[in-house]
Amino acid sequence: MTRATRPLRLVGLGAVGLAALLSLAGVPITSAQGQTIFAHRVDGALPVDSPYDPVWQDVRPVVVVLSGQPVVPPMRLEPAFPSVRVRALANGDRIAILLEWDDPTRDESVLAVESFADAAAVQLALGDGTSICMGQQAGGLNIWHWKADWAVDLAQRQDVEDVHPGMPDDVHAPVDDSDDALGPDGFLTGDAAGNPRSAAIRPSSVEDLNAVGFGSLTPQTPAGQNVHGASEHRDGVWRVVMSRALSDGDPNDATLRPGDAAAVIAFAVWDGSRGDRDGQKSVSSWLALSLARPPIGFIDMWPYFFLLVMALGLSGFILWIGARQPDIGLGWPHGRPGGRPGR
Amino acid sequence: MAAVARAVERTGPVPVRIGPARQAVIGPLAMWLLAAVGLDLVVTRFVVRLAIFVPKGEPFATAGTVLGRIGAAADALVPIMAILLLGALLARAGRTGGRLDRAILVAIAVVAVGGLALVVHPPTPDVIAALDLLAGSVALFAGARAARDARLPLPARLGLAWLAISVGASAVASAGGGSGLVQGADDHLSIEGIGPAFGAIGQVAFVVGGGLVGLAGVLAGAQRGARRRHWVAAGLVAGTVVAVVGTLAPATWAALTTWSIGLTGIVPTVAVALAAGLAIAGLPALHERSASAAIGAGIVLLAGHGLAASGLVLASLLGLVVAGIGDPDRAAHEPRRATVAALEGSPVR
Repeated sequence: MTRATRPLRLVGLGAVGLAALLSLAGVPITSAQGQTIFAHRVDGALPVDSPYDPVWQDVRPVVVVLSGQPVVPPMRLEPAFPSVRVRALANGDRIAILLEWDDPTRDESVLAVESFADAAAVQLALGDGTSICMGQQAGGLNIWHWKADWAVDLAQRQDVEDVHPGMPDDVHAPVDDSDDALGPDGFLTGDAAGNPRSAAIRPSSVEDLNAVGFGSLTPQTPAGQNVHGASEHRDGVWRVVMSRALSDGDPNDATLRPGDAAAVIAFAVWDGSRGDRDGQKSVSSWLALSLARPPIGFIDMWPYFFLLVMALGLSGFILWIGARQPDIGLGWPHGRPGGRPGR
Repeated sequence: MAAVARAVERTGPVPVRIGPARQAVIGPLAMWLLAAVGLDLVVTRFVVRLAIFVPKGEPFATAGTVLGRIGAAADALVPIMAILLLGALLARAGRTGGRLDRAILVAIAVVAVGGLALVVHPPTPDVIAALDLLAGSVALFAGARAARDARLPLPARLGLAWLAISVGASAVASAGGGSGLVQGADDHLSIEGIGPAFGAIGQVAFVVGGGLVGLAGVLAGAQRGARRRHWVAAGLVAGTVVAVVGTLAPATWAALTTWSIGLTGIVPTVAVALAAGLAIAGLPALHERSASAAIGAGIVLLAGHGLAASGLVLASLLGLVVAGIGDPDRAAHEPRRATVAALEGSPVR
């Protein structure tokens, strides 16, 4: 191989320096679109409470392949479901994402020790440099976690008495009669401590969470719980809609703005009847979520046309310049005497 | 693309300035792109991913952050090197390339700026599909050109063809699988199965292609005797490690291969191990026979299959182009030929 000349070596060093500068400044120059989910534009209200609304039928689903979670225990080596079908709708101020998957069993209770509920999650990256595995310090995640048991709780909070109706009712004594007493519920320590899982009233079937690595999953404050959920299990198929305001200024929420570059998104599904919980789940890889600025017309594509013209013009110019220059050598090992090429 | 190539061709006879600018740049730039893609594979797609297994407390968190920054730099280096190589290939094609060469390179330039545009502008289904299909077409044309080089051993030609199919299939999978190319559920052609189907085809083609180009090198090396024995040993070790790790820890291995080279477990581990061993053992030997084929195939293999980063797609396409350059640049070593051509008023072919 012919060695690079000094000017060429300088160009190479410059390229390395430029790459370092761009990465330090956080300026991305590569896109990672992969599979893209397009949030289709809807005028008016979104069908956030109706998973089987006809509007959803007009949106073509993207089939997202799922795999197991073999990284940390509890693992799921094989996915419980091969795929989840994803649709997205958006209007001027709200986005709704519909997840649909085949699940013959409807698991909506976690009250017995041996029972686990179906669940699904949408995971959005907060900025660049995150990890799909629950995020990392360099970049966190915003997770919307729908739980089938929470969906049931919206209508009527289930409790242990529903599973064990004959159980004795504890008498909490002595009763605290002081002014700041919590009353009989003071013995429900989780609820008293503000644990959202123990709350007597569910604000939504979807929990709004953040994570920056394994073991860091944290629910947002009650005021920050702003993801709405709706679900329906029909003919062995779950349909779950999760919806949220596009942008609410909360730094813990992924910002979704029409016209921005595509957001980074992933999905996970749990099958309660197979004991799925925590990390035992079926997961997707990263996908892109695109919210185009409405309306999409020919003129809205101007950046692509501009860059297309630029690419063609620049390429033509370089070809033209190249045609007027001495040959640019390849630098491969050249032919030996005798004319055998490539030796 | 073809119009640009034709327009340049129509500019007619041009003078040739013989001077010190007769430099060999394609080879070094291709090697640098190979190194950048290799760095990206090792750091960005392997070591940084491995870091998720490391505890998140200090000092691991700081180390992980530093590693992440290095990975981001490696990620940015790939498209920069690719653009430099693309520019040099375009300039060279202006003089010595045919119409198809120029059209392929102009199309790659369009793919490159398309990838850049997607960073800042939301894509639409049409844009995604158009860019993917263009990338797939370029891959097949460039691969066919590389595979037609009769001076290459047959396994190498077949291997390059399979690698081109792999790159093309991943592009079609991306176009059909997730672009939402066809909207509406009932009254349009169903293409839901396209993505997974072409993804599977691409993975098989990737492994077969890698194995075949490696086999070509192993066979070429065997004809020369024991000069490359250490590379054969390295290939054996690598293949054995892949087979053992893939068998003992299949789930973890599947996660790592999915993230690093885009193989999701469709191809059996034994086949991947065999292909990896052959590629490592054979590509250095193939480099002696045909540097362009070895470096080009190396770029495609290190870029991985179906990884959506636009820089890696660009690198894969350029790898196929480089593999198709073939023969050493005799014109660069035969100044008289250029001089005569200049006197005749025709570009060097």
